[in-house]
Amino acid sequence: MSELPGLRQRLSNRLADLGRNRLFRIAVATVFAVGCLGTAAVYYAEAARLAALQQSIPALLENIDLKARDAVAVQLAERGTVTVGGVEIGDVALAPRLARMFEETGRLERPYDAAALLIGTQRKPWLPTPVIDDPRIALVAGAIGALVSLVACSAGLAVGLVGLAVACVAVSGVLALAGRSSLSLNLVGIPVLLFVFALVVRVILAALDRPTPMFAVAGSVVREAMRLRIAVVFAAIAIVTIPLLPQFIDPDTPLRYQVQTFLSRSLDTMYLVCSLLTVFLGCATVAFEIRDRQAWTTLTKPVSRMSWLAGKWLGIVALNVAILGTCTLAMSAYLVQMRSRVAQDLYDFVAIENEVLAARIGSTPEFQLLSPDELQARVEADMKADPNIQADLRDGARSEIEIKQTLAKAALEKHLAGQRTIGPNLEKVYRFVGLRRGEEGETLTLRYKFYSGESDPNELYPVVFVFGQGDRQQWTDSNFVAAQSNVVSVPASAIGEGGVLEVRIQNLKFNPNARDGEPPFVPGTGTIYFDPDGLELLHRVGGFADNLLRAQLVNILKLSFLGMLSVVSASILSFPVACLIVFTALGAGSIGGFLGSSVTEYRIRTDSGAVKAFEATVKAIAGATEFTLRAYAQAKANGPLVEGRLVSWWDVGRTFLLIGVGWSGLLLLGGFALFRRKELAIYSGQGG
Amino acid sequence: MSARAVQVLCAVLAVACLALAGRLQEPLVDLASEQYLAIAAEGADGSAPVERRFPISRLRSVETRASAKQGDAIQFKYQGDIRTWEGKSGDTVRVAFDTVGGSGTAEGRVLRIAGYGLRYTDEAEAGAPPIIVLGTALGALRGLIVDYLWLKVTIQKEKGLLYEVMADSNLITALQPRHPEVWSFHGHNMAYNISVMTNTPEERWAWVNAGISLVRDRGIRYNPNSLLLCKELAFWFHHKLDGVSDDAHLIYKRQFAREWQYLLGIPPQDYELRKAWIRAIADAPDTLEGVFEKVPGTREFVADLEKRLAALPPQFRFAPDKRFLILVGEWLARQGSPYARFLGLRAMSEESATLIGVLDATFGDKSREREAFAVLSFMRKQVLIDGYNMDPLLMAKYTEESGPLDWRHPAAHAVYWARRGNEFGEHRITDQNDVYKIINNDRTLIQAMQTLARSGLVQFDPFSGDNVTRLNDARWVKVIDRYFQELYAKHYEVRGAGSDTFTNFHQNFMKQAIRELYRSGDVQGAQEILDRLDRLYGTGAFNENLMYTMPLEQFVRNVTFGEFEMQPEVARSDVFAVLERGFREGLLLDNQQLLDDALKYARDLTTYFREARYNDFVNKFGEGRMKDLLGELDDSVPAVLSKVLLDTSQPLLDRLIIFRKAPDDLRALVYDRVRPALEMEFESSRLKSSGLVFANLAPEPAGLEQVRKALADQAKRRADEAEAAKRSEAERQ
Repeated sequence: MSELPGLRQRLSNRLADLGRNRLFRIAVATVFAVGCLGTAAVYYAEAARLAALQQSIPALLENIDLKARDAVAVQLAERGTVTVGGVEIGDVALAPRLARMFEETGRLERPYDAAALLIGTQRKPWLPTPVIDDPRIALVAGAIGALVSLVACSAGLAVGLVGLAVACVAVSGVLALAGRSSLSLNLVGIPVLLFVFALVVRVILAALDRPTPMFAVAGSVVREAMRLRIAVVFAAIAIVTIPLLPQFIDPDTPLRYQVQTFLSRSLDTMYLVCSLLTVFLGCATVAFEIRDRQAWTTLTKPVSRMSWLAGKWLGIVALNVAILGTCTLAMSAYLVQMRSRVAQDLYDFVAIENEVLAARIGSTPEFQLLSPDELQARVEADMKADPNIQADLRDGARSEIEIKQTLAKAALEKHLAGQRTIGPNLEKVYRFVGLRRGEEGETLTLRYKFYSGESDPNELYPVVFVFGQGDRQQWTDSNFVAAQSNVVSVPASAIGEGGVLEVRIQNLKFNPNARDGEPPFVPGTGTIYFDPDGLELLHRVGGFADNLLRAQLVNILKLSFLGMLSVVSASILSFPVACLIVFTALGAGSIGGFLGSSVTEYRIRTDSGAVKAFEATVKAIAGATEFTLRAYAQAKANGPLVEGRLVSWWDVGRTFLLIGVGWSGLLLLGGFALFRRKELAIYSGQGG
Repeated sequence: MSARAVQVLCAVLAVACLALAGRLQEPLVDLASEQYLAIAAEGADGSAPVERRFPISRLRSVETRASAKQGDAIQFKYQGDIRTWEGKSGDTVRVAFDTVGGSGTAEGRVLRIAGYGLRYTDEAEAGAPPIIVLGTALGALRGLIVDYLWLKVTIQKEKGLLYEVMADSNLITALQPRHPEVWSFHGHNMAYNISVMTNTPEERWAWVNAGISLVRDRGIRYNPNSLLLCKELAFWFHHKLDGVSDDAHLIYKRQFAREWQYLLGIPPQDYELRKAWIRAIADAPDTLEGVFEKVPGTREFVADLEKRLAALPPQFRFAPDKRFLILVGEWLARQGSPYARFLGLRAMSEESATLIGVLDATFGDKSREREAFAVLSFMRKQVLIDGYNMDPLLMAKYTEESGPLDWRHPAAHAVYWARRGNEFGEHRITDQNDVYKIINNDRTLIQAMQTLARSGLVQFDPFSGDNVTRLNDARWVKVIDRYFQELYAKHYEVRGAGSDTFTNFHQNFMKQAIRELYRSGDVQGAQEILDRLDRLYGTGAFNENLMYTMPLEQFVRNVTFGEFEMQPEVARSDVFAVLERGFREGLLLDNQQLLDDALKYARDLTTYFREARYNDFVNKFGEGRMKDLLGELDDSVPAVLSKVLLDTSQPLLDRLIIFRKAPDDLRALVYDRVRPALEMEFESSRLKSSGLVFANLAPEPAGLEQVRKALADQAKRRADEAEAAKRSEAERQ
């Protein structure tokens, strides 16, 4: 038994020596880089080949004619294959199905569908769908892999890299033999990502390695977190959870829902983990150092209190960047796996690109306002027509200005509400401006929330949408669930000159089975009306990758505020109290939206004076908390990202200025003002 | 010293208490445990009987094999209080029970029933999904997490962000399986909200079916006595599947009818035979061993079946589950399908062909019909219980008590679940403020019965690709009348409108029913209902009136035609409806009386309007409103026959049969109108590929040329009259 520790020690020393060996590191880096790039090249070549087939085969099938005994058509119908570049693509089992796709005229009914069937036979199970759609993903992944290998080896992690590779092969081999290949993909990712996290931390430590007190303190925070395993544990929670999430997402739901659920859960997990780390580590690193008098030792050196606080904060932010970065990488990698799942239909598949993995902004329609003259005329007419108003004026109960203001407000609201109401068999036209002309095949999304009659959730209400004008005009009928958001796709080709889209909403029901003499359109069942924000056109202005970057920047800024709050609180309060304050702020900020609605709806319904006072106090505290943290709550990034909405640079900038600079800066200054007065230790002068 | 003595005394007392508690622990736990049935079962190899305990919650069936002469009376309910066993200690029983791996049986003498049932089960997770362990581990946090999830799904649903609603609803059902509202919310979301976001009717059906399955197969399992869930389920069957508001409702009806025809086969038309048919399924043994014991030869039958199926892939192997039952059901449907015969439908693969051969040789073997029937009944029972959470005993009971339920019709399921809610969930509603839940459930039930009265006769060929044929079933009229009386008595004391909320429904429905029964020839039945209406709403009402005192024939004529005085346009729709039914049911079901009555009614109504005093009324715009109506009534017979023949929501084969059976003169009237459309439809249908010829199915009727000439003359006459009217108007001006 006593030999084992010695053996382990010797082995550890040997491995450490090997890890420092330059030749070994170069060899490992070369092998891994070549391996990554080679694998990427194979994936790229295969994906590019399929992409080329996706271009060439539909073109080949476009004009074939079975009646004319076209060679291609005959081969397709009889053998289920086509020959492209001397290679036969397809399968004889497809022949009957492909034969049925020919119309009576001899032409193919749907050449793209036929091409998809043929190309499907060429698809390798190991090639993910997103890579087929964009082969460059393979090259990017290969480059990242090579880069990681090079950095790892230069950072002295060559031995770890080899060990990781061996472990991954072993795990995936065992699972593949057990027939659980998809699970192996999820499990193998965990050690890889942990390794990447360790690597990122090394890079960060290298970046913090500067001869300034602030950076030194920051570096020590990172080292402390790694040494005490706090950061590792929190990072591990997120890094283990995210790769396993796909296993718990129901594959029977629409694919776009699966992708959104995965994104939502991943982002929430990493944000929660980082928040908890920030709170615990931020409070602990300051409070315990003060308690244990370590801070006193540090601050007797030429490290100012401001530098010390700032350094603590910077260290925490650096850790958050490491965890968030690694988890984002994990999420992106497994997003590729999620997108390879089977979509319910073509619309489901397209919706992922157009609606989920996109950055869209919402536009509301232009409503006509009343001109001042019109408004005045209405107000005066209402004043004349209402005898109660006349009586109030005579009696002096209300002044003329007060009455006019009330009437003007009501007239404006009524005028606007009238534009949002569509009676049965009627239509209204809505204009959306400021749109860009879309590409062929691109779609926009019209989100609407209509009410009709009693808005029975069990009923479907009919409506017809007409998009565009002239020869661009297209229409579609829909059945909506009242009092709930519904969506309908809008072809980008309907956008007219000047970036204007005209949408006519008709309160009609379309009968596709109408026979001769029967009207195809009949009036709807009730008046349709909607709120000011009940009609929104979502159009794409950017891609998912950029949006993700901006969203994570917003998250980092929010976490940096939390970090500052933790550090400052712990510098003047004890650890548990500091944690309580920061958790309260985190919780209140997270549920800010709901809190605001609750405060608005809070009604004090009691006659008891004591209870009334108590409830009023509760409302005041809740209201004040919500008001204070409103900006934090409104700085949302995860929700819009998952919904496919744009997180703009303006949002990032506003968050930076308000929360990052403003709130955090104020906290730092305020905290410093209190901290500089704090006695960190008392010299007793007793000696000995 | 005294302090020491006290210490010693306390220590002794403590030890004594501990010892006593230790001794009492086992009996206390035993008493407080969930209820169990203790039987003395034969030991293995005939050794002395051993006591075995079966938790009541795990029992599936308890069958008395022999009654003891003496013993203590024992009674208990099991299977979620659905079933009751009554007997004595000492009775020999055979019990079927659930185990971790599946099910088991045991036989022995009843010893006792014990346990105060202070808790539902010894295991917190019994009957709950595995993830409930997580919920239990969360402890008090579970409530907070569930609150958060509820708020989140509500807000997300309003925003239309359904992606997480699904996932979070799943989580809520896992954390709170015994909260019925969760299942109701989740099921409604799937069936009503998410389904409309799909793009094909088939996908929509998948979501609607998923929502229903969620509540039926899981929600109600965890909440067997929830009136809310039963009522919601009944409503979804009635409103979503059987209603017409959803564009894809025809698909729902087709898919539903196909599934249940494969499961249970075609029910007999005759009510007595139908009761016997469902009772045979309900009385089937609960285990395969039981089948082997009850029906000799079944063991060999099953062994032969397994042997023949051994060569096929696993998905074709024998097992008493839904998968295999559907295979057999499809085979059975194929045997009785005219389309399958016409089209010579063959198996799509070699394996399917082999399976068909095996089923032909086993289930199709006439010499083993009894064994096949026994095995089939057993499988159906198993699948109903395990796969659909439906109790065949209840199905049989409701068929016997209510009426001829055809399980291919969604309203039959609405009746089942609404009644089940009444039977097992009503007693849990004790707060008077919640009595509306009971009323709503009863309303759903009676509306489902009304639907069955209007369309309960189902005809469906799964291989036709056509929609389900649904015709009136007058047998439900008396059922509804009887049920109304029960409802009236039940809710008489309920505050507010109470039972009077049902009276309008009853009155209106019965008026129609009188006409239906009268026209279908059941004069006595019609008269009975008329007499009752008089007792309830006529001379026996609070405000006495003589509305229902007139002779039956006059009532049918006056009340019906009298409505037309107020709303003449109703006459048009009424005539059209009567004629449509006459053509469809009269010709399709060979009910000549029905057709004759319908034609007579149309003629009488036309005559009535022609002789009416306001017939010549012309309004200030010069429009002869009644003249237009008369014109339409005159043309009603050929117009309606054309409509029926061109109604593509009905099977093409049925329509061609209607055409063939229609009288020659009618066929001649409509031939030119309908032939082109019917022929085009035939060309693109499956019937063409079976070798049938349209001209043979719809030959030219005799006297066609004369009819064409008469129609041409009539058209010319009308044109001349119209021209004359215009000239006189112009002259007048």
